[in-house]
Amino acid sequence: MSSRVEQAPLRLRVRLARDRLLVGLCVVALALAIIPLIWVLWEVVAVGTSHLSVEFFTTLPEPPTRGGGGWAHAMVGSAVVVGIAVAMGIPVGVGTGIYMSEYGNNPLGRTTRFLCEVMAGLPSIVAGIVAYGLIVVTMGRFSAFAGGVALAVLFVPIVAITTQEALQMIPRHQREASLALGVAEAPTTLRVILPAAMGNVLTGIMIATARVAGETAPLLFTAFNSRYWMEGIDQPTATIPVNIYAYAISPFEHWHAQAWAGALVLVAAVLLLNVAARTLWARRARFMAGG
Amino acid sequence: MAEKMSTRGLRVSFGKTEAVKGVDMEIQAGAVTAIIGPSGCGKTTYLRSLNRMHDYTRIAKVTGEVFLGDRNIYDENLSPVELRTRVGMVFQRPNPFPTMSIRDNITFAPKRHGLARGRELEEIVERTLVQSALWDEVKDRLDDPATGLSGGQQQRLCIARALAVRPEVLLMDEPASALDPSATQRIEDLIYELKKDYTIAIVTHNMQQAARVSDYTAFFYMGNLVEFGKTDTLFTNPKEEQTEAYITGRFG
Repeated sequence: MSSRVEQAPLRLRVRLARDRLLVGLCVVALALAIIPLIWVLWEVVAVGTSHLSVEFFTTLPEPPTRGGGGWAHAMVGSAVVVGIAVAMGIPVGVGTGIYMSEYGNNPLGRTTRFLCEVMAGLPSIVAGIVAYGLIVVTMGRFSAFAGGVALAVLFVPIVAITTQEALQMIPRHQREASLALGVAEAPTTLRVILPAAMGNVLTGIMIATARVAGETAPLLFTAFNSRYWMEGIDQPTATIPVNIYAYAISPFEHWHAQAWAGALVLVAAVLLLNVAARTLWARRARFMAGG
Repeated sequence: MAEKMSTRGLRVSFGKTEAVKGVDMEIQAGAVTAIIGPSGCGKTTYLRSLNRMHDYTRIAKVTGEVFLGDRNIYDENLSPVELRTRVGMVFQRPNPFPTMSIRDNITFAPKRHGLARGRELEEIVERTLVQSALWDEVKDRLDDPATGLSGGQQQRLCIARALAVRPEVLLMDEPASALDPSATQRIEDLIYELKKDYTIAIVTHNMQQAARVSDYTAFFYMGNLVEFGKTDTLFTNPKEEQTEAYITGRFG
């Protein structure tokens, strides 16, 4: 009896030590994941801020020998190209997600899900090649539209998968509540299930938008680049990521600085978009939580 | 009294498990029929087959006949959507639509069915909330979210919502089992009021509740209907030994 009493605290100490060790390992893993992230963000903010100016947002590029100039054309270009991708991608992506979740318990649905997973891991340059073959070759020139299509190819599978998962998180009794009132399946999905899942659907859209807004490779031979204002969505355009790439590999110090500033603008834009969507959604979430 | 619904040889199976094993039973018009029995006896499965809620469970298979009046509800030419406007359902856990206000919860289905608009919708809101004894508590906050109500209030809202499409039959699947005693009391009072206008079938695992609210009681055991009769008779003078064993608490 007495020996057991004496041993117990020792066993307990071993267990507590193991517990602390595991928590410690998790903290180390967290640090490994988060330190590079913070470091990159810090670098972009610190270096980028020092090169930002009003001119950067309002003017076109100057030749590298002159100095000064801005990226206004690339900001407009990025907004248009990403806008095209999002406008085309939301209906297709959300629609696909709804199909997979609500009607997809069949070979077609399962195949679609598998293809979405494959597509979500698609090297982004392949999306560029697809848009190049489909749009650029057909139209005979680079265009903002082709860039938008390339980004939409990357956008759709992410939104489809997150939409499907968001819808499936809605408890079955919500659906039954509506069906039991004699409401048909389609209005049940659109007016009960989708609104209840909207927070997560929007999050998926935000993640996908952030992902494609930073893509460079698919735009290299679709939207291409330009030093002037975009003349139409059927014309080539500059975008922030392609400009960052072009400026960063240039031999000019002053262009390197502008590449940092461009990177900061891109990160800030994605962040702002995220905060805005979440703020809008928070109101509705508060309503659902009971006011 | 006339029968409102009836089942003939009703069987429901999920894959290889048969949950309801051939039940013949009537649900009397303008009365409350309670379905009692131990967990897993098939009472909820039976109730859900009365408005085709098994349609969306892929492995569920329903055979036999279910009549509403003289029509078999599993016939090709009666759509489940139409059926469910005539046979409504209240579930075990209150399930108001979380994205909608109290008012919208009630008007959602009547709007979809084109039953009413404008002022008529307002009348439906008031009528059903009065019927479900919730009006006085919520009349000043109809635009507040339904999820802000207490559990008992939410369940009464769900009853109001079901009444808004003017069903003939109301199926209730343990409607008070997630509620506290005083909320349960209110639901039971409500059932007593509602049977003047509706045919009600209620599943409950609470025998006192069945005895208090129902006119007829069906005792289910292992997927079979063991005994059916007037509630008074079944509880005081059961014909079957199994029934007696269950209601006296010897098993279940």
